[in-house]
Amino acid sequence: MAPGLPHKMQEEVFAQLVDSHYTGLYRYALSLAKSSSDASDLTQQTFFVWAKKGHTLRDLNKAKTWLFTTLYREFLRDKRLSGRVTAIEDLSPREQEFPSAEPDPMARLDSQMVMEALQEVDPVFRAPLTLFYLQELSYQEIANALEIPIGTVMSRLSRGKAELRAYLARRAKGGKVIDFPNAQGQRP
Amino acid sequence: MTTQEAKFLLSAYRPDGRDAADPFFAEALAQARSDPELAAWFAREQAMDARISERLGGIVPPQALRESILAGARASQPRRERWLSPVWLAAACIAILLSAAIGMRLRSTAPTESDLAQSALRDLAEEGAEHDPNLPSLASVQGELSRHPLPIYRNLNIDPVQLRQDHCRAITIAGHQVFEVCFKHGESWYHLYIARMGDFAPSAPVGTPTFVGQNLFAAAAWTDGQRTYALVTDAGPAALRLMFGS
Repeated sequence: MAPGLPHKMQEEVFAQLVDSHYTGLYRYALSLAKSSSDASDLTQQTFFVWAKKGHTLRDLNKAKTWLFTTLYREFLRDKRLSGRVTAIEDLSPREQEFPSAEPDPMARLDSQMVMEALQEVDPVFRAPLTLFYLQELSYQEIANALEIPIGTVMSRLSRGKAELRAYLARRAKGGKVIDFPNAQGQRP
Repeated sequence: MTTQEAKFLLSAYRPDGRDAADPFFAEALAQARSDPELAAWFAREQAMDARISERLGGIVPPQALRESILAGARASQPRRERWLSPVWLAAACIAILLSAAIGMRLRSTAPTESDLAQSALRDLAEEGAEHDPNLPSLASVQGELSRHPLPIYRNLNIDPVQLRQDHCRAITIAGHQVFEVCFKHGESWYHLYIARMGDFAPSAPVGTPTFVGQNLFAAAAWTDGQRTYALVTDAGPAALRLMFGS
């Protein structure tokens, strides 16, 4: 946890860290993993890695970014193991204009629907998008957490928002929601 | 800066205003103030983002998650810091010397299946997130284990020689080489440790698993008459017992 501190204090520091971040991490994990149990596992695994390696982080102010980075790595690792990872290069460009805000698609949507909509966004865009909406990390911290350049964060946010809002707009209108297949024609 | 460029940058501006002082957005914000069309777009964008963030904030984690995280961390907490204190180190030295002295007089006791299970548990707690279980050379045996009919301990046919050739991870427990293969069965991950039968004395009759565990970490050890195995998971005792048909 944090060698050098008394054991009791380590537990308190760890508990504070959990209290501060487990909710945000769980929401992030849920958007990535799409199931509550997998999201719980990912969140737990993230803190497990912290308990083992967190002491290597010299600046505790960076713990939040470290945790989100770790959760994303664990998610990618699980995806690799299940052979379902989508390479960024495989994605087709799908720049879309922000659909009309009439009727306001958010007016009738609740938290669960927003999460479902996020889960429909291509995972490459979903990760930065969820981090952005969680408002826990700045664009710079999102770039660090996902280990991508700032420009790529901007680009993925822009495209992710377009996907999300297109989905929300279709759902609000009660129309059929069409999956966004990736280049291989499979859902991630 | 064009309007499109300003929109591109402002799409990363958090709706709670936390980025207001960030010079990265200064030029785009200034442009939004002087361009009514851009200002209107930005206001809509921020309103929409704020509402999505608010809705996302309504997602509540499962009640038991927090306690589960804390309990899991306690179970896996490395104990070595304690041993780094001078008092403990001195005590450890004395204990080692005493053990060595006694050991010269007493016949050494062979490690048991239970020792294998306990060591495997510790190994998973300490190394579970470290090693890469995705070795292509092991895909075949991992696939077989994933599809192996339950209970898992019946008709296991794993060749340690092949494991060595496939660069399977090997650790040393009580001076004996033990191979470890990770595999997923259903929704949970398991770690099978394989040792020579003679290296670990049976704790129970052949084909009878012995269970040990702490919180979510659970292990079972058994021998099939040829080799000794330990199956470990951090998915909890229920997930482990599932593999043994109970």
